[in-house]
Amino acid sequence: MSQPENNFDDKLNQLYKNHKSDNKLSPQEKKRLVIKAKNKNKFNWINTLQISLTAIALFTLFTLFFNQEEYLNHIDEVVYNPTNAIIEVHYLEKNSYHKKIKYAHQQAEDQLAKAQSMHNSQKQLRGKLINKADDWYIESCNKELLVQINASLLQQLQRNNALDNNISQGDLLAFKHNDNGEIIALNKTDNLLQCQA
Amino acid sequence: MILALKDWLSPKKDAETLMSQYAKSGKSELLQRLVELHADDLYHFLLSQSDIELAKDISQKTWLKVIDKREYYQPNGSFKAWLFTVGRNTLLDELRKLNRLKLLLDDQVEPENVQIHHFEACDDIQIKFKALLEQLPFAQREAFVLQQEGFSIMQIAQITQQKEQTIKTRLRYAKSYFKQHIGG
Repeated sequence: MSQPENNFDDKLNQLYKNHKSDNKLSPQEKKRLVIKAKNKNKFNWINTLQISLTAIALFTLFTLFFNQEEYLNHIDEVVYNPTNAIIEVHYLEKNSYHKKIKYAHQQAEDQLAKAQSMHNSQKQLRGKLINKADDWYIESCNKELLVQINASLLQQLQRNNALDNNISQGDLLAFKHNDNGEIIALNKTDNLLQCQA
Repeated sequence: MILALKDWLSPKKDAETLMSQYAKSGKSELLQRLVELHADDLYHFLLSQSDIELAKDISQKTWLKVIDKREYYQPNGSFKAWLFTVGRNTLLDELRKLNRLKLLLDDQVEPENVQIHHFEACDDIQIKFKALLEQLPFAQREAFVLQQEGFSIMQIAQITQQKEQTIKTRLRYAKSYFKQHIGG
């Protein structure tokens, strides 16, 4: 390369260097570059933490939800399983109230029977008169329980003014129980409160 | 004496060593030293290809990319060349978004066809140089600035993803352009 060419290159390079030194980032701007970079790292860390916490929270909710589902399904199985159905016969004999429970199956675990009994006492509150001969047969709304009421108990209820006069077959009846689970009144209920299918 | 002792105790590391260490450790002190070494070089390159606001914005984005993509850094290459490649690509992406990409299409403008505006009468050669640099076609300006930053023809070709012959042509045009207006 010739001498004048070299001189021109040097001149250009010097002009470039001067131009560059006139156009520099200030120390504050350089500092800001690093601070922003640090913040980005910090943000990433916070972001990771947030994502982890959200994932844990979602997992917990998910687990709770499915456990609850399982619990409810389990209850369904115990309470509504038709194999647990029983038949109760209520009757008066020698002025004494009797209630006979016929188990439709051989399951006799005390705890289950207790739970079933409690369930039935709640479900027995309402039922439909399906047969009106001497003895009355009342089917519970969920059709799992058939209540037979002996003629003598009906007479007793009538004497106690605890039996509506105009009850006919197909009517919806409401039972009233005492603390012992004995039927103490049978009333026709409002038509609006029909048994659900 | 004290300075020599200080240097001996903590020897100055080149950018490649700093970047290699930063890629492994992510320590912000190392990044800070890299910023000290090359932030001005990158900013000036970006400024010569855009404007102050965009150059600052792209500088920031480029350094953030250095952080994000530090594991992709090849220790055997030049850090400055890698930094400029990242910066250039970021700038081009931004120019595409801003629809200013037509600036890049002036690749083969010959020196005599470059339009010059109102600086011939200017006596201050530095101001004249600044105006000439601004009016140099984008691709030639890019090659010229990269050469002034100390990159070889091969490195410029790699940074700009062009053939070496193309870079040589651009540099020849740029030099001829300056020679024409500020003399030999």
